[in-house]
Amino acid sequence: MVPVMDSLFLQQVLNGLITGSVYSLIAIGLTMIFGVMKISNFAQGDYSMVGAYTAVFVMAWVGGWLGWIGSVVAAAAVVGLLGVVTERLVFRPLMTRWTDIDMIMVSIGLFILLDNLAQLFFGATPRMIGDPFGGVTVNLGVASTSLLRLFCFFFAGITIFCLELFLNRSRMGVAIRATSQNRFAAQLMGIDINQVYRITFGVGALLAGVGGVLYGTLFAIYPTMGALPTLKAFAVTILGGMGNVRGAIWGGLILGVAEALGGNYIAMEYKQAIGFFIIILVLLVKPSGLFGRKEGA
Amino acid sequence: MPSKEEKFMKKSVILLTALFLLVGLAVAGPASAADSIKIGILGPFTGSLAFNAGEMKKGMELALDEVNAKGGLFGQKVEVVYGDSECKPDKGLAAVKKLVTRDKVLVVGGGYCSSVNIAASEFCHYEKTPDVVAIAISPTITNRGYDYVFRTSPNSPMFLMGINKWLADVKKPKVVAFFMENSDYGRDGQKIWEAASKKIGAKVVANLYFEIGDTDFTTQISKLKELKPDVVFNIASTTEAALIQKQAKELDFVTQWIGVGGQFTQAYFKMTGPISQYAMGSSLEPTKAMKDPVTAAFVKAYQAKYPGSRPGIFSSQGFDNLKVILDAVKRAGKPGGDLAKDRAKIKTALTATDMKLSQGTIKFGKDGQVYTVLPSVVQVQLDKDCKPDTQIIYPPERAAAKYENPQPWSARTCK
Amino acid sequence: MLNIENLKVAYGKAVALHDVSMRVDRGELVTLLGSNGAGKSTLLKTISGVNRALEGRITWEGREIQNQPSHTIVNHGIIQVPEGRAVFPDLSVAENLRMGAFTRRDDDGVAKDLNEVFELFPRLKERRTQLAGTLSGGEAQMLAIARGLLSAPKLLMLDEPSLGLAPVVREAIYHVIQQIYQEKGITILLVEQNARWALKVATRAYILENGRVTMEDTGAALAANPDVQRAYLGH
Repeated sequence: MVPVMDSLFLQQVLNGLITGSVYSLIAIGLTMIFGVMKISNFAQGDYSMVGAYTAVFVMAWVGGWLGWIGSVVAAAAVVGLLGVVTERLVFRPLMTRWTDIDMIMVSIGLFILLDNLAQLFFGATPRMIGDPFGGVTVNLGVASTSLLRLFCFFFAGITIFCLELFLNRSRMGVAIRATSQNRFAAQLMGIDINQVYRITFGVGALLAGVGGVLYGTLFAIYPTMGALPTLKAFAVTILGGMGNVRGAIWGGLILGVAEALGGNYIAMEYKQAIGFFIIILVLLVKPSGLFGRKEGA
Repeated sequence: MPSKEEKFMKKSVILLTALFLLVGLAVAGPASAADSIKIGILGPFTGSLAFNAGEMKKGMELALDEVNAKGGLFGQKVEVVYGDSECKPDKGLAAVKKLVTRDKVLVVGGGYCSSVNIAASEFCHYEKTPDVVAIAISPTITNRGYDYVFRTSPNSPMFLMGINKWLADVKKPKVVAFFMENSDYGRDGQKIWEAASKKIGAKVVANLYFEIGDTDFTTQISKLKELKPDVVFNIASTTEAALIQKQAKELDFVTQWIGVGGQFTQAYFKMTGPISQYAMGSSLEPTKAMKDPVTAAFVKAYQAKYPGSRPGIFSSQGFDNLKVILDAVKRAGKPGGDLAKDRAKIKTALTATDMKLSQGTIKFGKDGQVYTVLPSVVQVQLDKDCKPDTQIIYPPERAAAKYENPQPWSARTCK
Repeated sequence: MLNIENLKVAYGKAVALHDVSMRVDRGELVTLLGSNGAGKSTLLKTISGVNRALEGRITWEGREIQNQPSHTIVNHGIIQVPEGRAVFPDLSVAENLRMGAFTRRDDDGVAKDLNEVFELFPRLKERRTQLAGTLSGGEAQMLAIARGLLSAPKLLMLDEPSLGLAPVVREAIYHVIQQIYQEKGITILLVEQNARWALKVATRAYILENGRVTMEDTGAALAANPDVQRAYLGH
């Protein structure tokens, strides 16, 4: 029996939504790249790691909330560019010839490479970014949180909103969606597939980079920090349906809240497992994911 | 005839492979030389504990430099082969197997993460290779009657002894909670503290676990906030402990945090800043024991080798660990080439260890555990510039500062 | 307008087209007949730049275009309406049409063409906001053709437009194709299973067998040929 209006319950929902919004952000990039290019990119969390380190450098230069917002913008630019570069140098040359498993191995290789490069250049010592809002806490009556956490949620929301605008309103955004639904037909419409790949990878990485700044500000920054977000992003993507952007948005929030509530009411030590348990349940009932289309439709 | 694209593909594959190799070499270090005294060192050199393992390694490199500067042992260079456990038992076991069977080291040292060392020491015992554990603190490691297994650091009951006494004499909490790593380190610590809490009549309101490498602790902290414990025993490693402090602030939660020790490193303070104020633990910080000439000499040598850095508990534990090993190898005599015999001789030499090192006197009990190194109770306190550092607050004869009661976040002046 | 000379295409080692030559002149409706696997779709894909030509030339208005990227081909005014409709199921009807005009920059022209397309296919106007995946087979085929028209093509290539449609719907599609050809004056290259109708409307027709052109003549002459009648008209 769950006491629905109890304040601990609402506190946990809030905690889950905030963490979940960051999961969503990182998962959207993964699901877009999968949708358009059918690549399971295991280096997605490492884009987040690079974004987080970008923030470390920007915030060493300009502190406070201004530096923080600046680092979100800088991370978007740096990691977006990194996405474009890795797509061109690593993934595209192999796309037409190699199998899916090969591509997974290549992305795992990229992930190991980025991890090791980060350890080489930045060292293994974890870092934390000081709270750009000076640790102000906000009491919402039934639940409380910090201004920083609210801003992270808000930034994730804004970024997702901008992405939705891009995908639904812009010519290139619609072309990305079209390509993920039928690559051949998209080609026949005169859509430059390579350009779509480039932009998808750039945008996907950019989202992971912004997510990485938020994740790094909420948690800690170290070379292997990308592994956990990658895992969560895969879980979210499977939950929401592979290649489905809306699915990734809702999937992230659902996973965040399920972990928080499951941890609180079932068992903390199984907090991580609860998320995966839900995924197994969803896959049993609806194998294409909560928001996925039926196969072969 | 290969197309342009194919050529490009081949080129990028070669380039990638080369990069992997390059990075691998940079991390792994130079290859081993022949005719040297080989010692295997296990540690989580990558992953979330990599920086602590790096501290241990820095201490060891200091000891290694000292011996090799004097021409090594028996005219041979001493060489250390590092094995990476990533703090995962399966990886650690694979690494120790490689050290013992492929690299044919005389003795295995280092070691960090209890779960890894419980497995690795068992393997060493059956392979009749001396295993001298440096940092892991679970009692299990030395209480199974394995005669090839030693430990140069205090075990968890020893780490907790001082704090238990302080709890009974000074703090006298009524409500306590446990918040710990889901590992042997966490579970063993929990058992000991739960017994101690019962003894002083404190009520245990929660046993909350988390996984190593977790980053989001808001669920657990929100629950703790609801339960309002006087003391939360937080058995965590550096990064997790720092994240917990940070998130406790974000959720406006105040309690007396007590950790095991080993979490208060320079990296920890760099991460938390003043947020970690009031947190407690037991520790063996060498820089807090400068009255001891041996410890002071270690700190000086360390700072000469690594200018601008301050040795922490892991550096000094690493230094002492390798020192003990080198001393035993030396006393066992020049290796004759029969690995089994050489290892047995070193094991026998280890039992007779009696050295004064940076952590104190090291002598092994019958079980291979050192009982002569005793940690003090420390609290994180701030100086006038809001810089955090640990101060010994207990036992009274060693105390350098007074216990401070945790204040609400709004009442704290250092942000 | 479109000239194909000695075209050879292969999938790995399997040769799909051997030495194919054909042409489509401005204002023609050319039909391409052939059994399954004869290479009709391969030919269209090669013209569209999706498949690579190993040998031979494709010229468009005098310029060589073989092996240009598919988006460049669309820019030349050559559009293909693929087999099996291949609309974008999770895009709305309007978004599908917008993708048809992907390469165009003249917004006014697109708006004008959109109106014309909606006159031709009033059903699509009603279902503008509906997802294309929810359309019936006939509606989806109409959408696919409409989407092709929005690229303002000079040459419209239709691959099996009546495949899998009910007879009544098929008649409607035939009617629309004739309308497009006669009223809009767009040159058409048609691949169609229903040889009887396809030969009747064609100015000229080619028969493709095992990757080779075996016959070429006016639609009427081929319809009267006894071999063609036996193989394709079911006499």
